[in-house]
Amino acid sequence: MSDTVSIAVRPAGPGRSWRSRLRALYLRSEALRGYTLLSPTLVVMAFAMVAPFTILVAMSFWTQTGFDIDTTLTLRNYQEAADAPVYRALLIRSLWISGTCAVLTVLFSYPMAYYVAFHVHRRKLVWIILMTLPFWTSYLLRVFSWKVILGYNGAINSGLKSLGLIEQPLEFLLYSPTAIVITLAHAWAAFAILPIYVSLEKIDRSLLEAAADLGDGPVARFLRVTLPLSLPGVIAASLLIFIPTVGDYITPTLVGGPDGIMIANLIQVQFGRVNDWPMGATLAILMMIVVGLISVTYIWLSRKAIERIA
Amino acid sequence: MSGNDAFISIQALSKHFGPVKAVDRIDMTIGGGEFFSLLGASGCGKTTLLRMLAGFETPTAGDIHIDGVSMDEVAPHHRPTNMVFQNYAIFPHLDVRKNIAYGLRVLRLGNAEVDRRVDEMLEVVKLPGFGERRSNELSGGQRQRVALARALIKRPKVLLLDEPLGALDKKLREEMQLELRALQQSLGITFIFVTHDQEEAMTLSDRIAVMADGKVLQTDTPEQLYEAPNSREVGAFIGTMNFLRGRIVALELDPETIVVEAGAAGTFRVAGTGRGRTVGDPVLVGIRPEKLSVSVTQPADGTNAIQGRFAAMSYLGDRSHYFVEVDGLDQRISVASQNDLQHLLAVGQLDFGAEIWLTWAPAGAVILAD
Repeated sequence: MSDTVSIAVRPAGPGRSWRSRLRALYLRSEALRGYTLLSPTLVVMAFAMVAPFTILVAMSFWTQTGFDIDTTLTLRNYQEAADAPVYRALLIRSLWISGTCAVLTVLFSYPMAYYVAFHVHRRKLVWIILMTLPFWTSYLLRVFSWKVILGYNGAINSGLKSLGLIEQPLEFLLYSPTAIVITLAHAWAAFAILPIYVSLEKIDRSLLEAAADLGDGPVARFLRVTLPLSLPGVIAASLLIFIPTVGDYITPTLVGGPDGIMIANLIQVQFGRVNDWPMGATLAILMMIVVGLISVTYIWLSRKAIERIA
Repeated sequence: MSGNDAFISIQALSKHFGPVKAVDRIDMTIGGGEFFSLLGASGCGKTTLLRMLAGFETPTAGDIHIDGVSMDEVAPHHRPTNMVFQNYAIFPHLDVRKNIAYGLRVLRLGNAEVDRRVDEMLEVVKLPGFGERRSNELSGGQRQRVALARALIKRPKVLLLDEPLGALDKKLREEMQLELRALQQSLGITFIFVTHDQEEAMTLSDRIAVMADGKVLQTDTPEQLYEAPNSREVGAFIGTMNFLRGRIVALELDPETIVVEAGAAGTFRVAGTGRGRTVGDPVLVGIRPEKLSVSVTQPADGTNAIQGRFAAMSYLGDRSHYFVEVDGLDQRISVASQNDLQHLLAVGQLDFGAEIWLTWAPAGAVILAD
């Protein structure tokens, strides 16, 4: 009897224990469960990002010869990018425009986020939604609306003219780096307000009372408690704006004018009219490296600065 | 009380939140160097009162003077008070040293002096060597010490403590109580301590103000509050008290005694002056559980005694609580008794429902305002 049972059980035994062992491992390992949650995104990332990126890196070491691509690995594109002053100039201009834009957006967004976090007590969500309202319309529409406002016969110029403040329309308003900064700052404001708001909202109000109790006035309280504790939000906000805007080419095309061409316009041209894909890839990777380095330095510096203040 | 008897004086202080009178016309004086507690159930206004002292709430009416100066126009960051917050409010972005030194920046001391003072405070709160830690690396008790050090380093005239021991476990709380008391006595700073724990208030305080519904019911020493509460609420809030309602039937002079007839509880004597009272006045008599003794035999005539039935008991180790039902009284009478040998012999084997007698001395009861 016992023999029959053991024979009957044996074939099922290893199968079941293999399954249950896997199950136990799954339940025990938090990392494994995390990866399961991540897996759909990971698959998409692998195919939609890592693969094109690998091709991009490989291509940057190739060279364009007429209509063909020479696949022998060489650093010639990088050499050329370093030597020709136009690339460097455009990269620096792009970094400058995006940096200014990120700083201005954070500066204007911080008070708004601060107001909602500390002084609005009911219906905070409504306020937040209203602030992010510009973000609900299409990106192109927002850029065009700025064209209407800043244009030669736009709202600002005709307003100033009818007030008699100017004779001729101000030409520097549209088709300039200033126009790019204004347009981008408005378009990306939601990305600054939300992270700053979240970090401010998390601050325990008793910490501010404690600071007051220990002798700090409103300004010192802000600099020593509120600002350092909202720093993660400020860093997130400025990077969220800086990183994508460096690579923007629509806004500069529409409102930038000749002085407002940015590095991404050049990259676009390499993949388009100029038809030098390897050079385009090289410029894209150089831009990425520079932006990455600047971001890391920025995070590090702002942490140091806040430690000093506090 | 040492020094100035009215170091802090509070006059007709009120704070209304809409229709709610959180603090309702409170008058209070607190002496310099006194350990003063505000005791009451949650929502009684004690924290609001403390926050008005710190300047975090603006009074609706009334005035606060600290050391002779009106606090009316003084912002929180200019007040001679420092506070230990209920949740400690340790700055999470700073280590222990910087937390403790936080308030010194305003004093513009040199680095060496700041370091010296922080080290001194770390010694005082028994946290030497913890300077480099962050608040998330500290236990509840350690955070409490950091909060204390941070508040004391500015050498405030008044230290305000908002239920600082509430989050600690019982053992640690008792330890911290002793340390707080010793600290207060060695520093000579006025401590104002908010708590809902009557035992804690009794252990720590020179005087206690018992609060309810935004008003102060009684301000007295722990001993007076326990032995001579002025009202039913205070008697019931501080410890346990049995209440008997009755009528004065006679006033005796030598010794001064009031004879009370209390319906089902019979007629008994309460020591005390009959001044201001007349025969026929209704009175409320309070008797603490430990003033009652249990007897299985009928006591001699002339002794205060109630007959009842043994209804329930809870054993607490060093003592026991007995609950006695008396015909005609709607509440059981509670009796506390040390678990010494005699009691175990006399009462320990009692069955529920057994007839017993409760006796007490005339000085063991108090007459309360009703």
